[in-house]
Amino acid sequence: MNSAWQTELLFVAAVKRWLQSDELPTADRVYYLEWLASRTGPITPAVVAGIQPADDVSMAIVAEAVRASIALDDNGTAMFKALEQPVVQRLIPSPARGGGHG
Amino acid sequence: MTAKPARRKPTVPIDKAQLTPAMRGLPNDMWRAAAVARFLVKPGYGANTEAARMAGFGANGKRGNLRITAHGIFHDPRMLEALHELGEQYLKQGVPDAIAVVQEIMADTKHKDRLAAAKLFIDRAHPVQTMHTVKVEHSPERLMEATAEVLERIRQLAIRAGVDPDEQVELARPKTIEGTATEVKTDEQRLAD
Repeated sequence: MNSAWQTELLFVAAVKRWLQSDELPTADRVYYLEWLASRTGPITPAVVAGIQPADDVSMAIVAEAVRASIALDDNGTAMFKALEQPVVQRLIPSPARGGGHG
Repeated sequence: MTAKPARRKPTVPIDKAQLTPAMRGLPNDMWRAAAVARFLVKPGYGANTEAARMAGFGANGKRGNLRITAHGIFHDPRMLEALHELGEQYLKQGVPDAIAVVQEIMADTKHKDRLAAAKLFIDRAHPVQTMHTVKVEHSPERLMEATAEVLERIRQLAIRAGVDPDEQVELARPKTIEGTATEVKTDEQRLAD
């Protein structure tokens, strides 16, 4: 699985973390579930099921990456650049290991 | 006997039915492919070399040699004339340099998905911003009532998405506020007491 797909696993983990909140507005819950359900390629429902919700460290990394892209208003370019760094990729949950974040 | 230099098949389509006069005047189809490719590659340093490579020049050769070949091709008066004509044609069609961006998006099947993923996190950034302190902001477009139909949709989506459907429905269900109801008296009632 290449770095683009690996990053998507991090997104899956982050979305699963948000879905755990009972404060999430219903519209957002539907939106995130639709996003999860529309994953393609190697991100199958079985893979999604194997990913544990992101932990605090992963969420902090995603948050920083998102903030960078919001600041630059670059449609996520800086976010992907940050999240596709090898050091960050090592934190990404592996479906083969059944996740690892939680 | 000297072996002919290897040639790659050009990866650039040429519409031979609509060749401009200057395009027809180029030595061969590889040159024509190079002219078209020059509008498809990312503008800037190395664009000539990349366009020549796309046209099939420099197969099995060194990058340095390809650069020299590209310089020769793209400084040839016939090529300059062809580029001028192609540029005018693209401008008339309303698709100037943007054509390079479109080609890039079409070539990368994950591009759209990546943009969509980026938007998921950029446009709806509030869960990221408030992941430790839950602060729910209700904007009109994000208000949705958790009706029976909506809860059923959540269940179906959760099954498709590979997350626990029962948990999602439970989390989405409207919360009941626990407490003891007490009668509130009006000012008149309180005065009467």
